[in-house]
Amino acid sequence: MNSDDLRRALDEEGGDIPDPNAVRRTVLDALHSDSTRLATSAAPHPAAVGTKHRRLYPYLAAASIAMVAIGATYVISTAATPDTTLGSSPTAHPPVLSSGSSAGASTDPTPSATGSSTDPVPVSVAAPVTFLPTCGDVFEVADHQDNGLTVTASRSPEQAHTLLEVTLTNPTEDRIKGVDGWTLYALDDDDVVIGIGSMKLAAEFLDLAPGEQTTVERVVGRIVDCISKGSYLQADRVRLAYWQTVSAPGPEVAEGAAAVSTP
Amino acid sequence: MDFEQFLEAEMPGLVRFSRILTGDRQDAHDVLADALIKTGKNWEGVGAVADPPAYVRRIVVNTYLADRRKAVRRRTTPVAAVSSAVATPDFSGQIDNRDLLHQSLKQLAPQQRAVVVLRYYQDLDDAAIAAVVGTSVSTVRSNISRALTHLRVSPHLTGTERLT
Repeated sequence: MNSDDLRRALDEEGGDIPDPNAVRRTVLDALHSDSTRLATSAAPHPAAVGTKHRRLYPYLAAASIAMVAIGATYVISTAATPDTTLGSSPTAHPPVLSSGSSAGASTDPTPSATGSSTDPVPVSVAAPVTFLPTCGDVFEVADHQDNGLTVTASRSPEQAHTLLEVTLTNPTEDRIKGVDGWTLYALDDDDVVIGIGSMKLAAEFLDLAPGEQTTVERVVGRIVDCISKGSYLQADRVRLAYWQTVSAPGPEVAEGAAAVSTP
Repeated sequence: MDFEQFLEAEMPGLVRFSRILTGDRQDAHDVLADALIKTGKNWEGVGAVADPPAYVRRIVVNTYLADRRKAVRRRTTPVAAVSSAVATPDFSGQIDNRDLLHQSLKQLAPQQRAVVVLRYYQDLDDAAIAAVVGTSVSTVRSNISRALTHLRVSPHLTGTERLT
């Protein structure tokens, strides 16, 4: 073998290339979404949530079928005591999400409260929404509180799995607002949680240093990126669940879970 | 030239470069898209440099290396996959060099693959490669040497390709 062989081999590897138009669309969509988000973030509108999920409708049917097939039952309950004081954040207690076939996977995030509670406003929660996140998906946010983000991970005493919770806390001014909580866990063929790594890895997974704050977009982007590439999670499937609560009335609020096949 | 015009003009070459660099079609898409999103967000600066395509290729390489570093750190390779990747006996002698070369290319470490691609596909010299990957020239030479050893390509090539 000589250098010509090597050049030829490299050249041959360039034969099966990705679709340039698909790459171009991915790039322009991402850039457009970024600019749209920046442009609209100053004047949020609840309808944006509905818009987001309409984009996901094509995925919903397939994911719903998958969910039914595996017999997973999600019970989502929520309670919130929003603070209606101008400029302060509501005290949201994200709903408990449980799966009948994923014992020990329920979450109990405890977002910090800021301000005092007055005149609670009922939180309306729509039926669970399922979706299949893919690399490049852009997740808009619905709630516009000034929140930071903390990431915690804990081990279930019943199972040797790590539950990653991403919870919005620590109000700061420059943070993306909206999503109350995320849960991510890997499942095996029998829908049993098999873990996503250690606590240290959980922070590393999101490219976060302990105590570091980040944005919802960054977290979601990282999760979706890793799921779609399957570079970190080696489970048969990955379930990404998130929930949102808002103090404003409207049916657009969504909770969801997704069963995703890793490559 | 605005960013979209740049994409229109350079996308074919960049897609191919990314594919060869990553060795995987999907990774090529992801790495290139990530790199171009970064580029698009900073187009005013990138578009003003002397050679935007070269600069973007540099972003692609860095995105690939950063991505692979994280992936390697997090990857839990199944035992079966390790076995199949490492144990490739050729008892029959029927595997030709080309197949072996392709197989070996896939096994190169990301840094080594990057320098090999930059040297043998982009025809860059050691100094230029060092500038792209952000390492010293000696590290580049070391990586190339190890890569070639792995690829079973003689490091004592002819003419200017001879390693020093």
